[in-house]
Amino acid sequence: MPEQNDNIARNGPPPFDVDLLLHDLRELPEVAAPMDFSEHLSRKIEKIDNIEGISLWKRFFLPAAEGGFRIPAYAYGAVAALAVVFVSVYVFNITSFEQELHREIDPRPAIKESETRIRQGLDAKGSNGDEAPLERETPPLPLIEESGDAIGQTERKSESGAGTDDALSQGGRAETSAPEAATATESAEPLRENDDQSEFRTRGFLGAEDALSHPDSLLSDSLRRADSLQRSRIDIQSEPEPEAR
Amino acid sequence: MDHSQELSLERKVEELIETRTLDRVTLDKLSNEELMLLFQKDVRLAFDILVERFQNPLMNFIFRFTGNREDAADILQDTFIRVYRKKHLYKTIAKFSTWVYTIAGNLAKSELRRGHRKYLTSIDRKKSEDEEYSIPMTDSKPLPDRDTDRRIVYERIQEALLTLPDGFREAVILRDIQELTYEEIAEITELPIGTVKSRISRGRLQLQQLLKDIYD
Repeated sequence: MPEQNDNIARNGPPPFDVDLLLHDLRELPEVAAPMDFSEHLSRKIEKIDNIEGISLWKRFFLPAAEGGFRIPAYAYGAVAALAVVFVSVYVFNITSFEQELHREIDPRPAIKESETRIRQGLDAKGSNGDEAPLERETPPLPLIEESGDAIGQTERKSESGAGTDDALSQGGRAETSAPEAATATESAEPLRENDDQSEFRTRGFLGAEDALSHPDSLLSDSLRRADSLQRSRIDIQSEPEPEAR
Repeated sequence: MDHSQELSLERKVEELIETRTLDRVTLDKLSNEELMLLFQKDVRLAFDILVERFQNPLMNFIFRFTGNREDAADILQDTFIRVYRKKHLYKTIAKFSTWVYTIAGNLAKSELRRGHRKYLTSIDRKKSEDEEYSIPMTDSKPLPDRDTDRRIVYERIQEALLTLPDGFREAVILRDIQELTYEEIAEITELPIGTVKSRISRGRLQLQQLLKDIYD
């Protein structure tokens, strides 16, 4: 194996300088493997053979000495960070904030349904000949009180004056007159169109407004108003006739 | 190793397996490549014999490369484990010795890179500051008597070896300590022979400068 083309004198006293150095390099004492190396290696190999049976996913969580993959911790961190970024971008892409806003403002379908049911019930009662003139006598109130209250509210300026449904949903203090209620139930679609065309103006404290626009508070509010409306009708009916007096 | 040699090797191994003469005496007479072929056919004894043949030369090579006996033993073990697990990657066109030296060299380099500070601290810093190769650890010692205290000389040589760049050190160890041929070193380091010769020559020159107080 050794070549003789690098002027190393293997026998006899080595020449000065490089040859002496090369001689010393070859004379360096050999370092042998530990005495029990073969046995130790055999044991290690047996262990490895046993590890071969471990499923792949388990080996991701085992240390390298026990047959696990030698993956540095920062690699796991990088993968986790990437996953978070991907999820964030995906969520951002699929979320329409405009729709989210509308969903929060608009009442739940169940509330709408209950309100419609109540209104239909009222209309059925209002269709009696005796009640109609009485209702007509009540002066029409503005949709939303102009003065507002301390916590503020969303005011709707409606040109046509038909915004009862939406005014209810806003949670503002709206007093609905009977003819307006009747027209509102007759045509839901035109109402919606009017809603779209209508203009919003916000005033007061937004935090309080948000609290009012919460679906649960909306439900209780609308039920309360419907209840008071019904009670006022009963009061009017129970009032004695002027002729009797 | 050409194609015909490869075929004859395989035929010989096939015959051995067919005749079931796989006892220790028979296997001891086989070459490294034949043993590796047998091991590829799941003859464990062949692997054991290869371990016996190569454990000391490889240990010497790794120790000279890293300068640490415990680390050298660990790397040696890793080398054989890799041989065991990656036996299917060995092709008979290569010599087994060069293949196993390549594995050991790569593992030793990785180990050095990981624990670089552990091996080359003050010596390396000195080199970068003064741009000359000196070994501060032994500066205060008296010059060793070349005939009586060889051990100190060997220690100085080992320390000097550790200051060489990895490529130079590997080439010098393989050539001047392990006594491999240039062709074998070129195969192990995956470099052209010209580059190997150049590295050996420059490595020796640096060693000379480092050890000039001994050899002047």
